[in-house]
Amino acid sequence: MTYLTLRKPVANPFKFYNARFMPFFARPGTQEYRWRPSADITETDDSFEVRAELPGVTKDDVQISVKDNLLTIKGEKRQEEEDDSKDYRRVERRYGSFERKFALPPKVETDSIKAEFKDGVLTLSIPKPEETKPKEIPIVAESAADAPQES
Amino acid sequence: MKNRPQPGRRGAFQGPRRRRPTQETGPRQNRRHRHRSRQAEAERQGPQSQARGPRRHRPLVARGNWEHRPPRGRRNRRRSAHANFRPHHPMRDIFLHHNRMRHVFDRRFAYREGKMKRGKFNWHPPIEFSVSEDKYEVLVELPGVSQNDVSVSVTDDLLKVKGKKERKQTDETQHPRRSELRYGSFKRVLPLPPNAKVDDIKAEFEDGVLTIEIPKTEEAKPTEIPINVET
Repeated sequence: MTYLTLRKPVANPFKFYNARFMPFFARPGTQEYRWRPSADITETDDSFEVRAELPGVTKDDVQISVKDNLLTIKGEKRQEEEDDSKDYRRVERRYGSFERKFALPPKVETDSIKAEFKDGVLTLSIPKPEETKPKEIPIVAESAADAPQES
Repeated sequence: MKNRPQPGRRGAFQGPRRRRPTQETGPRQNRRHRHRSRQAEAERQGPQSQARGPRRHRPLVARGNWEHRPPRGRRNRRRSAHANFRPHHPMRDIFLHHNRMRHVFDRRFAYREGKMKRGKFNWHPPIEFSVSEDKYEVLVELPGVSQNDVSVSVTDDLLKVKGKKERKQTDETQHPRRSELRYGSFKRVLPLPPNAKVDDIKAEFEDGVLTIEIPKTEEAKPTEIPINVET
């Protein structure tokens, strides 16, 4: 799970060991997916933008869902139909199902999230709720004498 | 032979004068001995030094004592080596060793530094290479790269895929929150097999995957050899 808003989420101290040397800390069945697409998150005044790289994945194989402020990108990268005459000499690409979750900031209108898929890049734009958008606060003069008067 | 001092002539030049080593300055000249304990020192010097009575001078440095003060007086100050004195830190030896190793590695890999920082090619896209009966196929993953920014070229039996991926800035206020993707120039080079038809190489770009097909020459394709069965 990746947080959209936080810079440094609370690190999972067992994650490093689980991944490398100590698989006995990991609970079975926690990871069903084979790979995890990498993503960029950017923030503007109005919205968040998530760009996830899914090369070789077709649009129909990707599902995006939101539940409990958790945005999930799920899908499968299919390899071409197995050809016996083909002899694979070098495979650096990853195939199979993938899943990635992003924790949304609170009070996001889930209906206004837009998704776009082009050139193997999935772009999600998540508009910020009105309350968190930056506002300009005008400075009001204290008394009538301080305010500029036209005469 | 010329410069050798002659015992009979007193006024002749006999080389630079050396200070007579005293019992106190002995360990000081060789800094390694400084940590030697007083008892070991006495054993080293033998029974003679013990017979000479108590030491005339203070010990050089009280090692590892935070309360230690330098002895007073000009002579003592010079002798005390207090300028170099630092309270002993339990991790000090480890720090020293670490620093030393760092210098060694810095010198060893100094030539790489420039290359790593402003390298010409920032990333290498993952590829896939397969061989079938009549052709070779190369897949290169290039998500988010526009078709105009990729170039495929063949030179000297090498297939080169080069290009550039640029970060898209849609808004002025946009700033990164998390950056996992690689941007910048990339390059992948593959050796071409000798039986490849260089002129008929085709490249296709779809869904962020570049597919390069390299057909084989006619001789390289497998031919069926009929087996004559004797009857």
